[in-house]
Amino acid sequence: MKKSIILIAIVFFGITLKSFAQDVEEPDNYQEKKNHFYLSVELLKTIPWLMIDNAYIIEPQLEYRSKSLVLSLQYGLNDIKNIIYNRMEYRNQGTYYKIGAGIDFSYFKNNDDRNNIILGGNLIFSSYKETGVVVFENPYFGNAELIQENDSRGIEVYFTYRRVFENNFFVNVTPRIAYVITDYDEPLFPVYYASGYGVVNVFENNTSNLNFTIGASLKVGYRF
Amino acid sequence: MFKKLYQFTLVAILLAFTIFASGCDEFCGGTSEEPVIEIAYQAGGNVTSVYAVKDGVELPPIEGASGTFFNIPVDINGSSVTYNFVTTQGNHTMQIFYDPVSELQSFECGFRFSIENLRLGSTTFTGAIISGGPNSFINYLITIQ
Repeated sequence: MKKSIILIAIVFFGITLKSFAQDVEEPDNYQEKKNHFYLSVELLKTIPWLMIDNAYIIEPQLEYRSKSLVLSLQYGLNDIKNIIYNRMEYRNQGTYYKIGAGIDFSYFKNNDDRNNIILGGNLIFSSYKETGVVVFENPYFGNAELIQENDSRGIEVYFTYRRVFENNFFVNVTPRIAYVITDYDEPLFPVYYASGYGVVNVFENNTSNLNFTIGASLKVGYRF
Repeated sequence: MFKKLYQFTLVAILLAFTIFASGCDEFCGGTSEEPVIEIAYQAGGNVTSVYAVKDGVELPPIEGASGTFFNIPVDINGSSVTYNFVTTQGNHTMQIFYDPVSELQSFECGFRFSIENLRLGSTTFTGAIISGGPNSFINYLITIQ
């Protein structure tokens, strides 16, 4: 399962890069731009976590551009693992939705619609369970299991550069800032990872964490 | 001049290595350990073994739980445990109730686990007294008489 996902991602990325190499010169004349659907998957977060056993973040995204307005819907699914706080085996299982809109500034320029620059924002709705197993030395009853659950609502602002190739495959590069609006429910330990936002306790502080994260995504997809 | 600087640097590196490489476990004190309660058995004879019953299943005998003064572990994932005591005077059971407590100490030390509000449930011992606990300087102690 894990190998097949990696293989599909590599093939997909390879086709995209191949098309980049075959790209032709853009005409200078203005063209009327069509409305498009854009379907993409995230690579920057997905691939590193896949390298860790049974850990993954899958984040497909569907966008629709009508003239300069870009509407987007993103669904995320994560199951990540890490060792934090001196021998605590951490696991985060969660799902999230991102719904948002943006403006494609390249729409107003004379080009062939293969370079998009989008500024936008998303509402984020995420739900996740954090499980921490603290490993004891020679336990009689077994290791301690700490479980806490959260529903986090928040927003994110992003900037996207999208390069669409000849065969309609595209690459997105998206730096973004996300902010968790709702309070964390964290009776056992500070929330370490908030699904859809990222790591909110980078330095594994024992008393507090952050409400905002800074990140980036690299997406590959197809334009319809 | 350079020789002294070199020696000073070397000592500083060795000192830093000694402090950081030694780990912090010795400074943390009781972190990442299963909490225990102490048992003082004064009902005559000796305890030969103690084992717990969890979800209807008998667990193996607790290591070191014999004689007249010993520790028995507490299940941090639950709030009650039933123990079976095998003594030279016969077999007994004792049930305890408690509130598990977990406290995150620090990044280096991790968690410390303890219990609060220890209460006795059903027991076949004729007398058992609880003392100690989080508000005193000693662990919880159950004296069986």
